[in-house]
Amino acid sequence: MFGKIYKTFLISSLSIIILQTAYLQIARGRYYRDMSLNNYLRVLPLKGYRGNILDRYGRELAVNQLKFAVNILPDRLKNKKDIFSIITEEFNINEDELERIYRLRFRAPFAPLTLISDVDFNKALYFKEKYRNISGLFVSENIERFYPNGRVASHILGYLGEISGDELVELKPYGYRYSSYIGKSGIEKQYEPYLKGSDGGMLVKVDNQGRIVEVLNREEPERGLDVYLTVDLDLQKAADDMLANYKGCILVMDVRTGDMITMSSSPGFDPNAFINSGNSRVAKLLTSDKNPLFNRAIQGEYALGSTFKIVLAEAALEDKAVGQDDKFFCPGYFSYGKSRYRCWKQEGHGWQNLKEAIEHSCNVYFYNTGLKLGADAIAHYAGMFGFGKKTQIDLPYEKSGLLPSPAWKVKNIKESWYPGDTINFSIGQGYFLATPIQALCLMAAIANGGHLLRPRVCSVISGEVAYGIEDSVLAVSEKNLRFIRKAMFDAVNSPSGTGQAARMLPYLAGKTATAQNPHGDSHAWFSGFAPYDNPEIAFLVFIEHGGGGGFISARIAKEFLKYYFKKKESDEPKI
Amino acid sequence: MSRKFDVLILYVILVFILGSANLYSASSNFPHNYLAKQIIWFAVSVLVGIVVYAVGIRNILNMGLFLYAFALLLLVVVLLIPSEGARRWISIGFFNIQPSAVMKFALPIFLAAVFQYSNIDTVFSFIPPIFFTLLGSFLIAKEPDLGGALMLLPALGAFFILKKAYFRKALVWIVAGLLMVPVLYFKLEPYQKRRLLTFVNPNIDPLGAGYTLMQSKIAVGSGNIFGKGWLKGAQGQLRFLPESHTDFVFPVFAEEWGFAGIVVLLGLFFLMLRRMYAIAESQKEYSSRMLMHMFLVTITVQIVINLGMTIGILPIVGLPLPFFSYGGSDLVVTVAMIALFLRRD
Repeated sequence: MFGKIYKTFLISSLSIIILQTAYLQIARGRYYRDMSLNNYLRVLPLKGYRGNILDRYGRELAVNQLKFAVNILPDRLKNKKDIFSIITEEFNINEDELERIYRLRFRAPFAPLTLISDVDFNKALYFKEKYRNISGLFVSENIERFYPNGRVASHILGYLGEISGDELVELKPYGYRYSSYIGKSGIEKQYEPYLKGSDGGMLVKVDNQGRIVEVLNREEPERGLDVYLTVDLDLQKAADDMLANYKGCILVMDVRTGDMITMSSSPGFDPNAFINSGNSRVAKLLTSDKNPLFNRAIQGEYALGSTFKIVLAEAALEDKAVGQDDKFFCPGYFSYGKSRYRCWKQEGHGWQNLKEAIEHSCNVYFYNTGLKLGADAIAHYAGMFGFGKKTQIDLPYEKSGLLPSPAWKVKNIKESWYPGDTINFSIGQGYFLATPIQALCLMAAIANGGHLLRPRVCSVISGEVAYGIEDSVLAVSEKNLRFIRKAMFDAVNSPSGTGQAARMLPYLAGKTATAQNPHGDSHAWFSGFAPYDNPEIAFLVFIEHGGGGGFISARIAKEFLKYYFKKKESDEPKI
Repeated sequence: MSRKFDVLILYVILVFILGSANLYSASSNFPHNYLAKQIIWFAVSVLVGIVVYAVGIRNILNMGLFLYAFALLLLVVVLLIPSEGARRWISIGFFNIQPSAVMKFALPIFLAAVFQYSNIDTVFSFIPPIFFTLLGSFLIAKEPDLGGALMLLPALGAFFILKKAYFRKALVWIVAGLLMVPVLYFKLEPYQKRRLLTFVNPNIDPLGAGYTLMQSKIAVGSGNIFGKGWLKGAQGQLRFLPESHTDFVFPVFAEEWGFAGIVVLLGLFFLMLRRMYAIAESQKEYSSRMLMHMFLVTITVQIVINLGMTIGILPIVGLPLPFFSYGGSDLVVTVAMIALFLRRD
């Protein structure tokens, strides 16, 4: 009996064991082989550093910085509470905040989670040494974007953000990964493909502790390219400072090249806020009613006001609608049908020729001129100077403004175009909207003899020209332009001109404007070029709700340009 | 007393060679040289085996009571040694002995010697053998060492079968035993409970107790038909497999030698056990035959439980695989048992 039982037991046990191993090794062999590979093969990314962004003299605007962070691996933690109390002891943070960060950043039990970023070098070393035996807690080194000048030039530089789901789907083939940072605005977005560089990686064999046993394959990362801007950091800083208490912008462009030497838009923001700061600072920027992420220079669409009289004067001369010496009488108002249209000067300017009308910014003169030209001709010349179209500056999210015409109104407003619309259009009001950068391009074209430039913020990428000077030569006569330039000179420098607040040496020529708008006080514009006799730069100062007469803008422009010419005299960049 | 060379020696040596090659691989990334230690232990085993061989079965049986008492003493002593974790070894100078292994060897001798003339034919006649066995099991379980405690039971089962005990009379004790199962379960250490639960469902604790089983199955399964090659098994070499030199040494073999290797190994084990069965059957003395069969069943069950737990068909109880797992005491005891088979009557 024993023999039977023993033999049955032995044979059946061994058979079951053989069957089970056959099942594991043959039937499910592939599955377990994959599981085994998963155990010991890891792909470790090697990060390619982002290229720097530098100003025209090579000064740093956006760089990379070595940062240390304290991280946890959620599934390796023995006791989350203990870890949290260690961290609250070592760092200035309470447990509720820690818990909030934990919940916010938790992705998966096996995915590393950063609890404290921005740990300084000594603290990181100390912490790493003291707590190296605690499972699931580790200190990492990260290369992070850093903007050494804080808010300066923020709208040009833009900011980085974690890649969104949609972006990831689109960009995965280009080496982006979950939680990659990507340019979200400004130069960081525009030149993302150059700045990014490429991540490398290592295929490694690891043991059960995750220690690397063998490197099976390695692909080196590549550093991104450096981007040189046309911007002068000193001037940009000065402009940002001057605008600190205003909403508006200061723009300076080289009229020979289209280089943006300064492009300040206020309020600005600190792009460092978007790097690893938790979401509170970012949320503040996104929800602020000051709208600090909004780049007024290229995204703001405003009534241009009297600045538009320059377009109208040029159009009238080219079209021969009025001659330089044709006069109109300004009694302080203009009647058309039953309506009355005011001049800004109630008592009127009396008899004015074109030069005087520009110098004094006489509305009545331009009402007459506009009606003589007709709305289509005004729209044609405004379009010629680039209104209603993007300037194609190398920054994202540029707006095109709004260039109305009788056909546009019928199509979009479903009403016919009235002579009153033409009258409003003539002084840059009504439906017409322009971005500050468009107005700047107009000034540059007047100053440089009719070349409508494509503005650029970046000129050189890693030693090579990013894109050269691009312009279109306008069908305007130099004689007419010279006349306009003289009128703008007088507007600043003659005793009766509207832009006297900006009078200075070397001479500059400019046009003030007050743009009425439905939201409050008028916007104050002052734009022009300098020096008058040999123009180098076009400039524009715009203050949202800055009040009548463009006075405040003219004052800021004078202050800024004084600094510009003083700096140019010393001819050395301050570093 | 001239004896022919017995083929059992060949099988044992072949299994030991396979086991040693495998132990070398399983511990090649360990700080200690386990193979060298194991070979020293094997030498000790052979010496002990020669002594056992020289003493012979009759004399051994005569020492049954003494051996059992000695093993009990060791089991009590080991429990008295202050220790933070499990108390399974008694350190004697440069080596450790495992009292549970001594008991595994002593109990069958004790049962065969003391009860060789008693009949197991009444309900109460079951009590003495059960008592002496459970006394040993209880002390071993206290260490705690569940596998070691269980390893006394196969001999007891074999004892009753060999005694042609009346099965219906045994029913009382089987039912009583089954009723004890829930009580015993509550007596288990938490980690032992976890092991049993994860056997039922390995996914309930993938990073704890289920981890070992998962890694063990990955090691076995990824071996496929021909294995990854000696010293090339990732699970073992990169130490994903815990206890790969002791209880979980078989998955290392399965990973590196594949299904083909397993067939060869099980074939060798089968031949070895078949030869041992044949030798036991050839014994004229009733008590010798009984002792050998109890040893045979002990070794067989140990092999089956160890293999079964590493491939997920039995719960993990922590038993070494004879000639494969590193461990001196178990090796000495196994060789001593084999020595008795070689000696015969």
